[in-house]
Amino acid sequence: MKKHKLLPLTETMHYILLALREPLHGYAIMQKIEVMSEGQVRIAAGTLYGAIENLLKYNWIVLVASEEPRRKVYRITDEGLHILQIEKERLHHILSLYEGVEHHE
Amino acid sequence: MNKFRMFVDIKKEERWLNEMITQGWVCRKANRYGVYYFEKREIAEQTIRLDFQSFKSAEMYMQYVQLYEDFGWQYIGGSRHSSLHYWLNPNGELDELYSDNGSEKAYLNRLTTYYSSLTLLFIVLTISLFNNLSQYINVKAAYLTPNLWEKEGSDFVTSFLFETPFALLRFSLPWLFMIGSIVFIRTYLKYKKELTKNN
Repeated sequence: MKKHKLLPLTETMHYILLALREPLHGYAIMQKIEVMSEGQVRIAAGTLYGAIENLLKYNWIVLVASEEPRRKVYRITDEGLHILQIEKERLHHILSLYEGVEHHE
Repeated sequence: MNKFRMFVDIKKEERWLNEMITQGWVCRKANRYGVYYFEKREIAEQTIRLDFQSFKSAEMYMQYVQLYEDFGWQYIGGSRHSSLHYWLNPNGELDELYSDNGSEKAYLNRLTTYYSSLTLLFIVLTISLFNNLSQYINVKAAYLTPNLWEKEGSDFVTSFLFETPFALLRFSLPWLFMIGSIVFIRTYLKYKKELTKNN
């Protein structure tokens, strides 16, 4: 199977998808990621916009209705969760290699 | 203070706007005709960034503007259908629009595509102008008034002066477009090179 264009996820994409397991608006995504990464990742506006545009295009995230019509709120989709699952397995495997555990399947 | 400037290269334009800030002049408004409105400011901790984005829908445009404004950027130039957007960061804390390699590269990619289509357009226009106008070698031939050169005295002066702007246009247009093509090709190659360097 051919890998999706966005796989493996960049650090930015990874954090955004993880953050959007709860509905958030754009600026709140950045703030949450800053906390999640313990201040290591600070996403700039253009990078976040480009990522949101891309993720919407592939339907990995969707717009959800919010009380504030101007400020758009996003949430991860089932497809997005599936992608996170794929990435989780990939990272698990790499971690197991770090730890020197033999992997037979 | 208003200033008129024409730029082909977006990064040069950005650099110029930021140099103006260090001299105390902050651009508060920019339009597509090259007119910039500046205000005198004491604090030099401000940055201007030029973004390049086009939008599939008015909806995406709204999301874009709202998001940048939430981040603290002030929108000082651009519209739904302009691809070029001017952003002013008034507190100098977060001064880049892009924070990872991928998005920076995507930005350079959009610029490269933009300059390549402008180059193509200008080359096509240049060729068609050279084909359709025959007055680009001899300025005298660009005057189309019958018997102009046989006229004398004030009759000649009036006809001559009246037609001069048109004649100059017919004469210089193909050359101007040719120069334009060269300028765009050079800018295109510059960004193309920057893009391959980033790979």
